[in-house]
Amino acid sequence: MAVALLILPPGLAAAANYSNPDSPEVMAAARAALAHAKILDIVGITLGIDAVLKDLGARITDRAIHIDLAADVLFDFDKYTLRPAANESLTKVAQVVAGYPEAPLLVEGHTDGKGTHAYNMALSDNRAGAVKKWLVENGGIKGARIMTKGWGETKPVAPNKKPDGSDDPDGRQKNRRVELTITTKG
Amino acid sequence: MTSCRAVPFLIFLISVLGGCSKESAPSAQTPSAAPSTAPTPVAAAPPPAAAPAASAALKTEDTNIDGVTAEVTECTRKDGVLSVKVRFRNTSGGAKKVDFFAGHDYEKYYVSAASKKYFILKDTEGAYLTPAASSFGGLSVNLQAGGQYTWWAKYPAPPADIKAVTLYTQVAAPLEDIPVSDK
Repeated sequence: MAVALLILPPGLAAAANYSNPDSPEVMAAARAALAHAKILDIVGITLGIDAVLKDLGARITDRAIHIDLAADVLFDFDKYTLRPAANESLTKVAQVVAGYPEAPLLVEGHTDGKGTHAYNMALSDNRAGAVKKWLVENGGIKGARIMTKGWGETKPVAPNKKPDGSDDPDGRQKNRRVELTITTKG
Repeated sequence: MTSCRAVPFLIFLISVLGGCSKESAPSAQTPSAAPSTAPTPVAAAPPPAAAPAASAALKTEDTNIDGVTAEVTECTRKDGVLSVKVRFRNTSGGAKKVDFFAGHDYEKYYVSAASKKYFILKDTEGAYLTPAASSFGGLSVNLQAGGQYTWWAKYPAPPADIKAVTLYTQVAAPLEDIPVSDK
């Protein structure tokens, strides 16, 4: 006859029962666990990611997917609260991101050249944060995957002023944007 | 005399040699958990060397381990709980190791249906209702040639009108259109 002595820390005795999925204890624990079950909505996962990428005008390289969203669509003037009209674009972004469940995502906010540098930096940072918040709360995307950065007016993609020094509203509109980068490789 | 109050978690196990034999982790399927001071769940014993006919699979997929297949053998709904079992079989001529996950990443194994993701249920102490990871957070199983291991999990069940689900794992392509039976 052999005698074995086991000293178990609290709670572990219950875990040992989970070796048999058909046991009454496991089924009882499962029923009790339903009260705090985790169920997430999948935002528009379909097979047509190519079509979604095209809709978004995404640029695809061998290492990343780049999506540029016009800030005027996402936000009211001088605000960082998302407009209802932003939902459609962000839903499509969430679809694409969901297709790469392990890929990190960078959200970068940009402003035009009007206003002070400090103000533009804060506004662009807040706007990037608002997009991240939407993706986490509505897109089912883990916040830990998403990094945000506000660049203010420091990285324009178009002139804020015309060659004669006058205002270039079209250029400034292009500069007001949010850039999303999904790193698909490396 | 030992005081139960002094040692509240003291448990005596008495086993009789040569009498009732206890199931033990066999060579054909051995969970390779890291050493730990606490006992870890042990996989059930495999069938004898001349393997009996396997129960019919609801869905079969190759895994990303050459020679190992994943067969869904159960997907039943009862009392709001979805019970899923997947049999991993080593059909190759050599030993294979199945690394289910690392870092306690149980949530990589989820069920989806009708635009929702259903994650493995956790009890009130946070223990997932599925084979437990080792103290280092990983779950791995060694399968000898011809060996098999049944992984299982409990999920919140999709609504009754959902007749099929997809199971996502870390080791195989999604197992799609798994029929759900109601108990």
